Amino acid sequence: MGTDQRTGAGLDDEFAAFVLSAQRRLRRVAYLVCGDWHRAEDIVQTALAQVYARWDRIRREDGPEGYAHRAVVNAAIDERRRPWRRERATDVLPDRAAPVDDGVTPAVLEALATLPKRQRAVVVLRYVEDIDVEQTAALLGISTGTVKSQASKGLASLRAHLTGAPADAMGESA
Amino acid sequence: MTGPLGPMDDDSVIGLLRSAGDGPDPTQSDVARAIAAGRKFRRKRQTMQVVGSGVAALTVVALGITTVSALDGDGRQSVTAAADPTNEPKPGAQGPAASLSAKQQNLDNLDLLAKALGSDFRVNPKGQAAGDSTDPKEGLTYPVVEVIPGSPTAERVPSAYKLTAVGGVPGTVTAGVQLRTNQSLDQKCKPRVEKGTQLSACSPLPTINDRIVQVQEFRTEFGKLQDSTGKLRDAAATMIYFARPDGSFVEADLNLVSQAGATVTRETHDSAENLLGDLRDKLAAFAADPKVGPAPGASNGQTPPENPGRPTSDEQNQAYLQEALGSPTFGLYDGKVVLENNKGRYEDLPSDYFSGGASIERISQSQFDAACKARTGLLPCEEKTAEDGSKVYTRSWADRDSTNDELRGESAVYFVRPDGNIALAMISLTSTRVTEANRDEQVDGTLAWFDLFQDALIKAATDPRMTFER
Repeated sequence: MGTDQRTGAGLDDEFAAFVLSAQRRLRRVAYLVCGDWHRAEDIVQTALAQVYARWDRIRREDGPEGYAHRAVVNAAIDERRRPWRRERATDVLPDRAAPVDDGVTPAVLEALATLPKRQRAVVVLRYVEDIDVEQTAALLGISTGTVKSQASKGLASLRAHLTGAPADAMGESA
Repeated sequence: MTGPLGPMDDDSVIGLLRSAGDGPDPTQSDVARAIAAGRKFRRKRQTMQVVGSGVAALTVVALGITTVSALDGDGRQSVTAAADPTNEPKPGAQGPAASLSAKQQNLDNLDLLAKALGSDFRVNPKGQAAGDSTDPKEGLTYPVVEVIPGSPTAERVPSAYKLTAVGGVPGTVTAGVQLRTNQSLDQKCKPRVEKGTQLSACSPLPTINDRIVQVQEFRTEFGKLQDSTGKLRDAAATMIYFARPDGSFVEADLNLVSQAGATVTRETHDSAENLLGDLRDKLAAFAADPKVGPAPGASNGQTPPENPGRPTSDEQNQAYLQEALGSPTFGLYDGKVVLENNKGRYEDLPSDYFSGGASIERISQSQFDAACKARTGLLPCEEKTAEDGSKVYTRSWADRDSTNDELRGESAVYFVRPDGNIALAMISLTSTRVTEANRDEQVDGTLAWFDLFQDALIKAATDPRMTFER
């Protein structure tokens, strides 16, 4: 693994350990929010590059996990808002790991896609990543009350789409 | 109503979510790629880079900078868009021309385009290299229309600039990166301002055949576009769209981009824009030509939009606000004003952890009173006089939220307009990593930064072009 004078081999090793431990989670967040596996891969790589570029500073402060999560969520939302960012010529399709195909994923993604993008991010952070209300609010720059209400509404909507039951009946059947 | 998966409780839904997003473990090659991209990102953070040439370049230039997501382990551009130029394109889905070879159809369209632009133009089946200007992909090319060297039009092309054109029905042709997009006409017609580049909203233009096309222009602010070495670059383009009765539309793009080695001056910049302006009507004639394939299918019964992407009055107000605040510090995306990371005066913020935006809206008298009148523990807004003599009220604040170490701040300008509407123009910022120890420094720095833009906010709040729908 190459190094440079500023980061040094030790820092590269630390960063490598971070990537190996965090990338899978970050990619899951990005994928569920943006709905596109390749885009999610790119988003995570961008976030990791940003983390690496600021590694020396981030590692001394709160740690890279929160920074990377914020970068991934914002980029995933942002990428949906600015699809033209993706328009690019290429001749090479890089090797990409494929998502796990369990036969259910398309239905879940379809249901997720029906949620407003911030609500989708709230649902993913709260229920998939198990991030608490306060931290989710901080990551998304919204209030804790909004996180709670959006998480509840989002989950009810998902159930409605996946099961066919009306959203307003969810409370009774949950 | 029946869902695809049958009855389940919340825990089951959450379980599905978790498994849906799962993927394989990262490998050492993922690490190496992240480090390579990170190094590249670090070098480029403060430098606007122009990548690309011709059509591909314009798209990237329109985006402002290379995003590191597009860099592979060697720092080269390689993105997963379905854009392999060697692939046989899919034929158009509608119309009798669908059976025609899509590649041949693309060439036929370009032939029409070359003829429409005049005798100084020709089709070059391999005129546009894939990849970017700093790293072209050898042997992989797109067909484009180009200007014939030595022709009168070629003489007007600034030295070391490249003029190319592409046209067809988006989604049915390979030529031109922009034409591959699945964006709707309405989406394409939205204005954007980013990092010193401007994409205008569409505006209607009658053609010589009495049809109406939509014109959109991409322009760079002279002197704002630089490559990684700090050398000036330049790019301009005209896009024409023609909505067809079946809901599809024809797009024709004319791109003029400085290449490596070009000496960009105000004169070359202006010449490029003038040349595109002079070719606009010919480009429009092509777009409205019924011979552009594939032929449209049956009418969808809807009248083609007269003003696709036309901003709402609120979107237009935000555009005026962005104009007042200025690029590249503030950009405009989807009708919203956003703070551009690491651009313009972002570097004057007290840390690299800021994000934010700006907005202008109409507020009620009671909202204004609540925000600006003196009350216990709160001073009234400060009254100031704008350049035109209007009285405005301002308030700026910033503080740390100790529960999450975030800083939040707002700079607001209130103006009671002659029509009785009260306009609120405001910049909102948030930042992280604000501790008790650095609170004062961060708050003071934020308030000082707000001061830099207060005149611009006042100008926006008092801008007579603003309209507010009740």
